[in-house]
Amino acid sequence: MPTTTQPPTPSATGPVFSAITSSTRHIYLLLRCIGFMPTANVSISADNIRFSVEDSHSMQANVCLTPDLFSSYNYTPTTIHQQDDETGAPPSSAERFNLESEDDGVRFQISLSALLECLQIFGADANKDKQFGGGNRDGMAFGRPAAANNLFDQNSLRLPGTCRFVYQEPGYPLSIILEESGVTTTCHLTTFITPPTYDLIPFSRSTMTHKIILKAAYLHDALSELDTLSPETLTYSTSPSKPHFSLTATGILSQGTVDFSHNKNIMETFSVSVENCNRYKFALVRKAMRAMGVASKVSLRGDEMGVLSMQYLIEMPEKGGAPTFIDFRFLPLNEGDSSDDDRDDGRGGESDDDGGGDGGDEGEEMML
Amino acid sequence: MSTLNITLNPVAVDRLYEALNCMSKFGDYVTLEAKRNKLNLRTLNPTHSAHIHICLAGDTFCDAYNFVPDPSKLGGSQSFGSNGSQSSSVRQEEGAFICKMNVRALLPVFRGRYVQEAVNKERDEGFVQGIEKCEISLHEKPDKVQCRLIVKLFCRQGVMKTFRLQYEEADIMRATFRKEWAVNKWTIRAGELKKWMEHFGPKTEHLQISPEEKTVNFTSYTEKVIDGSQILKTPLQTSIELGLIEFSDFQVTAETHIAIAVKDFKSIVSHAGTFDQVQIQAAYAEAGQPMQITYDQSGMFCEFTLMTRKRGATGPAGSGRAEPVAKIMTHKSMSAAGGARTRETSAVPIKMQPSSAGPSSRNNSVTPGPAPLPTPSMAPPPSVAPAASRGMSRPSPVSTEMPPPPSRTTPRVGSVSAASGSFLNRDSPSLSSRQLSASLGLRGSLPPRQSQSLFLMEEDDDDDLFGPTPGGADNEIERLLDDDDDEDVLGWDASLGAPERVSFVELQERAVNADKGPTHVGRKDQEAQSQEESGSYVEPTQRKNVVKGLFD
Repeated sequence: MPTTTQPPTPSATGPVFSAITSSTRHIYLLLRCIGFMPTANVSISADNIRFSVEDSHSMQANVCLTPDLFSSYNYTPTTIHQQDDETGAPPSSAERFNLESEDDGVRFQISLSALLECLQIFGADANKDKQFGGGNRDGMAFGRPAAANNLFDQNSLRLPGTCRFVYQEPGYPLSIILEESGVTTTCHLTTFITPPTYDLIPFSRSTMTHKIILKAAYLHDALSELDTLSPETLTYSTSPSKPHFSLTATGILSQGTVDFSHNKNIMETFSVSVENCNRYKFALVRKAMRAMGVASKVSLRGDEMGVLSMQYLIEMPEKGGAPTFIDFRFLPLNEGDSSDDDRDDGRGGESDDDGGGDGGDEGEEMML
Repeated sequence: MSTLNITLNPVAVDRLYEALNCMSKFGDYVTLEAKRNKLNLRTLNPTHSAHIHICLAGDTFCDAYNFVPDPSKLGGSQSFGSNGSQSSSVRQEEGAFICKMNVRALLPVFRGRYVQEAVNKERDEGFVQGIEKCEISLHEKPDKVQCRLIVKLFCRQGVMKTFRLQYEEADIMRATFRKEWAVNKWTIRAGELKKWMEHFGPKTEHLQISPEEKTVNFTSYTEKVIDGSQILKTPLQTSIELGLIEFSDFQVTAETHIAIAVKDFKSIVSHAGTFDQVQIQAAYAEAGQPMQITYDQSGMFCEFTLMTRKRGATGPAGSGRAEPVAKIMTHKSMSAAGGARTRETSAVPIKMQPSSAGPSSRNNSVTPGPAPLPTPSMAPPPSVAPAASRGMSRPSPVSTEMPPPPSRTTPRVGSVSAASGSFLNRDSPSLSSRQLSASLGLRGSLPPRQSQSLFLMEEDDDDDLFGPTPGGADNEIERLLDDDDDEDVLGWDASLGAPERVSFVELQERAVNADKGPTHVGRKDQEAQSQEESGSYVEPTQRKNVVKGLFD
């Protein structure tokens, strides 16, 4: 079946979505990067299948699995979905990774932890890896970059089995059929209706304050450095002058800062027009660290409202494979609710409350 | 305000990390003392049985070292440059900057900073970790707000990591160790020792070092059978005999058997093992007195003062307890009689309660070991006990766990302070109590307490050698580098002849308490008990404060 939309067939004989891949391991590792939440929202369109998770209404993470990852990718929207979702202009292929151009496919919610566990059935017996062989729980721990990279190299190439994703139609489970050397495992994952409140954190590209592309390993190093202080918040500041990009965190016993100067070796792009400083909840940013560990590059962007977008580019293990992106978005902490006493620089404390999820929630509403 | 600027190269940072890591195995806090030409790091373990002093020489260890003392703390007549004999009277006059920091805050700052240069350029680009240089500076402000120790790490590719570390004010605590008493000495290559130390299990507690003919026996053993679990009925014992030929130098009086904590010793040895070809030197007098282990390389001087314990102090049998003492006494008579005399005088007040101390020391062996020590030399005839007429001549049962001797006594958590206070001249001011009482504002309300030395002995109270103030003989390194370390020291028997204020019965009770203190096990009881008792003459508020002051 062709990958493009077919003429709608009212009583869909075939499934709405089916795809076959042989790079299960890679998909597993990609999804593991956002595996910090138990449930994920899935949206399937002709261009990609997108998994997104959110935490405390103040951070979101998305993984887009493009058809490149699959040997066969069929999306056959039903009439209902055509009416519902495809009223807008179809997205151009150039915008494939652009998350703003979504909302054109089926959406449902599944248990991400269950999905990961399923995908791992394969991985677990295909490799003798200590870190992930022990089950999902162990895998959930933050992998060090080195270990994760090794996994990439070792496994995805030599996995002989295939994995098939089938989604019959709304209301049906998402079936994952894993086959390896004659053994077939079928997992049916219950799908749930996406809550209506679920929305993407808006990122206004027109008011972008900075865009930095740097090697992800450096960001990972910086954050793991700051993580040792067990801080509450991360202060993120960019400036056209020195220090160009700095991350600060304050722990109980000490305060740490990592400054990056504009160095071509680690920064591919550095465009900062105005000085900018925002604070984010460290616990949320920390959740991106697994992606940081496996990614090769990261693009950091911020908009006027302080929304931070991190896009990680994860290369396919095989040479020439199209890279995959994982996108994280963070809402900033409101000013005024500082947990670190060093913030005496008199920036306007406009807002009041916070303390994690609620504050983020409010921030979101404010921006919407 | 004091100025401190230190520049370290990556290798030195790695060394510093190793040192801090070693210290973190002993205590949570490390005291930094910056002087003109060196930086002292000290730590004391919670049971106060081990004191670590690591000295970083400004010129050899650091790439650059600059310390300018706070002029306001200097003596008025003193100028910056002339820090000569003039300042020898009072330590403070030198204006040393002293602070206390949590090791846990320091460790991650220095961890993993030294990465060897990549051979191949391509790979080098991928290197994220590793630094080029480390700068440590002090930001002290007059209003004492936001004072920080700033560590700047200059990484590759123009990345700079800055850590602003908080510190607390602190007082220096030193372990005094009398070199002249330490007649037993040996020196061994660290690598050699490390190789063997790995055989000692992590669960074992004590390490006994006993010289034999042509060999030295290192035996690790444990005393406790874990409560309730009968799995390990016979605790593990590992003996390693090292031929004397392995030692570069070995002079130990026969039958000097000392026991120290395996964990401590292993930590030390593994730290020493991080140096190339370093020689560990150990010196000690006898069991129950401190042992000092020293080594140094490339500008880092390490000195560990460990409390040793007597074989008898841990043994279950009464007779067994007495013997080692006797043995040691005979030994002592030939080696360090002079020193022993001094002690004798000071021990006088203790003699007042031999009867009570005896049972209490028995109490100490709450967890009667399975008499693990195999060394045959440990079972000599009990007849030697009468030799107690000499320096160490307390009645033999007492000798195992003596109440603290006078001026040096080191009560635990202020509770024992009552106990030792009874022995001591409560009116004679003590330097150590100065620290406490001054900081707590108690000085006005209560008489200074002799006994509140900060330095507590957990294991062996009968040793006087630990103290907050340096004794006459500091360690060599200290002497080497310090031109002025003679802080006024309390004489060791300063309290002699002081009027006793407590009734004899009370005294005895206290002695029991003080005696109980030394064991880890009896500690809680002891605290509770002595709190009750001390209520008669110590304000409760003070006790609380003291507890805070000591352990916060």
